[in-house]
Amino acid sequence: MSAEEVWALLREVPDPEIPRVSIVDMGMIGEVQVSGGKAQIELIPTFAGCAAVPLMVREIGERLRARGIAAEVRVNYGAAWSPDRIRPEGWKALRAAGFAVPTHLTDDPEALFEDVACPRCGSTATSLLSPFGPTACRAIFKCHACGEAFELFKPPV
Amino acid sequence: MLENLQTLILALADDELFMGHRHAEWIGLGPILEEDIAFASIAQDETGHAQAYYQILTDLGLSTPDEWAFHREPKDFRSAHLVELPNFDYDYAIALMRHFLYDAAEKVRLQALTQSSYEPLALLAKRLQSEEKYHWLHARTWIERLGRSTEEAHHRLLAARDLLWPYAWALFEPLPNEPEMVEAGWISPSSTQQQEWVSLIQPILEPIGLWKAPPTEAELTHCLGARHGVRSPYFDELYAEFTEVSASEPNADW
Repeated sequence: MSAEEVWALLREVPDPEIPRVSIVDMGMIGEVQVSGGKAQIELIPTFAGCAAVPLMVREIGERLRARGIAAEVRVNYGAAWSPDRIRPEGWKALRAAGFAVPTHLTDDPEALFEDVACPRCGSTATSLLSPFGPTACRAIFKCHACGEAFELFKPPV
Repeated sequence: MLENLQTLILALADDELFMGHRHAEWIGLGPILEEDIAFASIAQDETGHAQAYYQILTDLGLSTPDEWAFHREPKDFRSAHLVELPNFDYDYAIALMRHFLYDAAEKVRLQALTQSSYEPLALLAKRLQSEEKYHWLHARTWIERLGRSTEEAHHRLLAARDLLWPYAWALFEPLPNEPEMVEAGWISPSSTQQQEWVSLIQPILEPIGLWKAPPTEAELTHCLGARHGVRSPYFDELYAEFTEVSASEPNADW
């Protein structure tokens, strides 16, 4: 099996916490090396403490094993994941899943939380309720125009 | 060299491990839902950071993260006493003040580590820094907000500060063989980190009447020794609870 085919298989693995987005489109796969019946895969979690990491490692192993490939997944905590690793398809899927996404890349958390557009009505009359949400990569907002609460996809900054 | 590296990494990791555990004790008990979620989320981050630090040792062939966390003798831990302290009566002012004092120290420490000559540490510090910014934003926001609110809030924060003050200063107790680590370029001296910590927190605490002079030597004594293996009186109970599952099911997999 070629590296391209392994990439294609990995693209079928969903992000367990945002299942509409694949781990490849989220930019969580680093290097992939294939030789013989073995694949070495580098996994770069969005947050170091992401509780879904063991699940992703298991899922990758199972999907590849079903196709006769032994996967060796190395979780790389030293490599920094950043939102510019997200593919255009990833951003599209995040929006489709109902998340607000950052409008600009920044290293300042307060700047990240400014001018966030409500994913339902588009208004930027929004305010941060909490920089923390149901997973490490989400923050909770409220829209003052439509009154709904929503989540911002929150990358490490 | 390996022994010094282990000392340094265990001090970093063990602080994160128990800070994470103590913060996690707020799950289901936060004063408002958002704070419940915030402490749960911060706890998850800190625990993950501990794991990533232990992984550096694992990559050098030294044990596994789970072994470091769950199967060690109490005397072999290097956590600061600040993170071992319980959540006394679930007083939120104490939780917030500890979160603030600790995360300020962590901010300083990570900044120093990004310059480390030991590459795995420098790389990891860079990553953790980008996550910790949210913790710092959370801690600072609440301390400033409550510090400027009611008399009762201020009174509670003062009491929390008095309780935690010497423990927080003791975070900067030098590691054994620290001069060798500094010489190797792994980390900046703890005295330098302490000065940077003061420069960070004094301008925030002073205007809201929460600053105080450094603790005296007599006040500090009972908080020292952590980096040499002296555990606080709270450690045994903490560790018994922390290892309850792993002790009953040593080969549990999750």
